[in-house]
Amino acid sequence: MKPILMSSIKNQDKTTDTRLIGEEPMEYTQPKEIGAEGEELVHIDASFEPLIPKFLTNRKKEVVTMQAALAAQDYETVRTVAHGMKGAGGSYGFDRITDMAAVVEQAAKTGDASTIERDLPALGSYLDRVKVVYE
Amino acid sequence: MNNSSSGQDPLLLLVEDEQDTADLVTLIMKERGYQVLHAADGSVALEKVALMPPPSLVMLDIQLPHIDGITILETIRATPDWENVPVIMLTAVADQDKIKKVRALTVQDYVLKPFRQETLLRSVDQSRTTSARPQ
Repeated sequence: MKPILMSSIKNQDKTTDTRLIGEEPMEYTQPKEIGAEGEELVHIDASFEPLIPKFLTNRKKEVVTMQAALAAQDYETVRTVAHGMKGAGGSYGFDRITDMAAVVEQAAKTGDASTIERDLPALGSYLDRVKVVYE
Repeated sequence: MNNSSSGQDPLLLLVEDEQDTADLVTLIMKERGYQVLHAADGSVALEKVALMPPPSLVMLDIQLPHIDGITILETIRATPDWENVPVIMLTAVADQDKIKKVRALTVQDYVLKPFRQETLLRSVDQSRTTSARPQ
């Protein structure tokens, strides 16, 4: 049988690295770039501009959803929402969203409330600070 | 008849439950000249497989509401007219067992989310030159 390709540029779970063909995994985390007023700058493909406001609004809503779910000890909802955010963030160019959501997703899998309590506010703070530079 | 030979823009069936990811893929693929038909959950996707002519390409998430992407892939491969449609898995699931199941069903590529635009488009280009079934 013809093997499938493996075109992803990062494998989120290094314990299950199943890459068959494709480039080496690359580090995802973007270096922090701080603007003049303390905002975090992220460079995004200009063709994505029409989608970005809704994307960021939806991520902020998801942080609220996960906070409510955490309060109810509903870890499955936290995991599901974080899983979706992990996939969407870096696809738009927000690698730090993916990084933080991945931590929250993993913590939700194990019921690690303290990590989620620590990282959800950090994620919310990032969403408030981020400033998009289209290029 | 496969839509790719109808003289119209090629048709992509995108099976993706995360709306912002679906919007991004739709934007990218429309710029590439595709019509995009979006199914937001597994049940809707199976309806499309049962009722519509085969598209030029399917992009398929694994973790979906109601019916998972592997079940949809199994159905595609068992459906006359659809059995040879190129399928690209587009998922944040890097689980070894699931990838083994996907390999057994033959897909053109397995793109992990988050993805880069150029990675996705390269995968699309490769799918045109590889058949769903080994010759």
